[in-house]
Amino acid sequence: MSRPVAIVAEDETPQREALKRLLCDVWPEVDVRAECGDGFETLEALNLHRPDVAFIDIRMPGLSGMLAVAQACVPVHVVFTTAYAEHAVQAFDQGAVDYLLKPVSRERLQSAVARLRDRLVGGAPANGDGALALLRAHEHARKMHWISATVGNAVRMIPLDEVLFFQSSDKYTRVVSLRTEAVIRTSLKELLSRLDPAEFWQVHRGVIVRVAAVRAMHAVGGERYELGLEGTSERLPVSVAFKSRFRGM
Amino acid sequence: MGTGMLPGDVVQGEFGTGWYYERFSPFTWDWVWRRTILLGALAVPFGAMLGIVHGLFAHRLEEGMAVGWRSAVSMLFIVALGPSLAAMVRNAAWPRRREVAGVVACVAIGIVASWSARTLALEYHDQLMGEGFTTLDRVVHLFGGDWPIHSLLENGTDLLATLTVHAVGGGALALRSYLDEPRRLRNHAEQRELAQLRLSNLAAEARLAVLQAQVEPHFLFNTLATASATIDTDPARARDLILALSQYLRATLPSWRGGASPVRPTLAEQFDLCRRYLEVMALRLGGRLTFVVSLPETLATVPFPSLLLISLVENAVTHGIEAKSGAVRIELRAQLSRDDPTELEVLVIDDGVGLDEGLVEGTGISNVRSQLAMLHGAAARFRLESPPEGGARASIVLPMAALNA
Repeated sequence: MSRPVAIVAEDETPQREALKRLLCDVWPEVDVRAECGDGFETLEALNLHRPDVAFIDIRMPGLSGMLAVAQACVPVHVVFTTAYAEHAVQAFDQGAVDYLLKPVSRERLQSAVARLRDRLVGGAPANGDGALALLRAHEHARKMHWISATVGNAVRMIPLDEVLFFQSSDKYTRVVSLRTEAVIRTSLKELLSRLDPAEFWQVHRGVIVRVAAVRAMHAVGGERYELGLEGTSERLPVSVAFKSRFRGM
Repeated sequence: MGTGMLPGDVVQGEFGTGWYYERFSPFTWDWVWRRTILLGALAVPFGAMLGIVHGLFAHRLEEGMAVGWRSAVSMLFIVALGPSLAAMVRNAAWPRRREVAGVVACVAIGIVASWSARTLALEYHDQLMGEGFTTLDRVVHLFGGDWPIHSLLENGTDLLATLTVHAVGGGALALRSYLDEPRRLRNHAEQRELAQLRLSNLAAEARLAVLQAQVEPHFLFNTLATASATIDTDPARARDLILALSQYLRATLPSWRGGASPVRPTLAEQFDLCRRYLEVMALRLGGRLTFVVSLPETLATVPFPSLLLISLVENAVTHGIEAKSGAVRIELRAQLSRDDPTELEVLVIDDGVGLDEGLVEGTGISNVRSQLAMLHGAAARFRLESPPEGGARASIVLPMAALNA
């Protein structure tokens, strides 16, 4: 069997070099083809070298280690490294991928290498799609507290709990909060998929409101309705399709 | 059983009217004198009325006054006699069972005695009127026999009404609340204990969160990993790193310094903590990080909440500095605001990757925001933004008066 090709990705140089030394020590036949210092280099190296195995730090500048693997779309046996096993790491246990806690001990690396050897013999490279999907789902379930949006010529963090509504206008989405007004390029659809559905409702093709801020629904002739919100004098249109959500108000 | 006001959930009251005296434990002096003033204010004028009516009918002022004061005093007896005797019993601090027997007996004695007093007062009135039945006659006739049945009923109802007035006035209703009070007090104590337990749980959780926030695991283990990685190749660096980490840990966890944690952390202490952290990071990032920490001497001793600054510095390092390749710089600065010199402004400025538009979890800065709101409410202002020239700029603005308060 030819020498297995590996890459090592870790943003802190001393750690990366130490991991490479240790790896060559416990697995002499491995060919470390590339050493990467950030997520983009990792992505490049994965596509360029198509390694058999990859040791990748989860937290890296530019692109996280997990995203680099997901975007590379090459079959590779990935061993993630991390300094702290957050909940997300539990997902690895369910996938075929191993992970190492830093600082990495020789014994732990040996057992990871033993598993990698087995996998290489068995063929079928596990690219950890399952684990990644789980991680993504986990990422998605996390509660967002802020929205960073453009105010004047600066990008400012606005607490999500102060946001009254989002309204789409030509190219941008308006973000109106208790204290400020900003714009963001994210579409309403994209926002909606990440906002807490208990807190924010879409009430119109172009409007998402904070439910708790809604004070009244006004009839404005025919089948048209508008919402009055606390904290702003603006009135927002309500589509007929969404009107029923406010029944009883 | 002590005196003083009862906790809200123990108060049961006598008539359920929510009168002020009902907030005190029944048959204590606090309860009795307030109740006597209140009920007396209703009963005594009512008693005095008999004298006025008598005086008007008899056209004799002195006679009316004599009837009036006797009647008024007898009314006062109704509301005050039994409860006062019972209060003396409670004051004697007998064992519970004896006290209960005593209080019940006193209320009963009060009812009987005040009835007698009232009867005497009414008889006096009847005698002076010199005609019709005396009250005694009425009672004799009631039990005497040859009265028609409707009269018997009439007198029976009369007797029942009188008994009710004496019993209610004499505090019989308060007995219910009095007898049940130990149970309510026990309930209250249990509830309070439960609430305190919940509170101390919350406090413990908060302390734990603070500890966890202080030593961020990624930071700690990555630092150890770097030390472990450099120990063979660059022992001097490994040693510096371990020393810097030790100093950071001591600064972070005041209890690890051996002394008690400072009651009011100062700005200088918080800056020192951040400096230690940045020293560790500079060693880890191998010279690509430079930092400037500037704190004017005059602001060094200003009290400043702990953890706010280090959270901002950590945030800048994690999201701005570590995420950028190449040389990076971070600046930590405190100053009196240029617009308003009564306000303190603390800034964390970096030239890292800056903020991207979009939704952000931002747990670290959320903690900063909520801690500021909790400590200083609307007086505190927090802002995090990417200025047009790039990087990120976090600022906390607080009135000096709020900090020194």
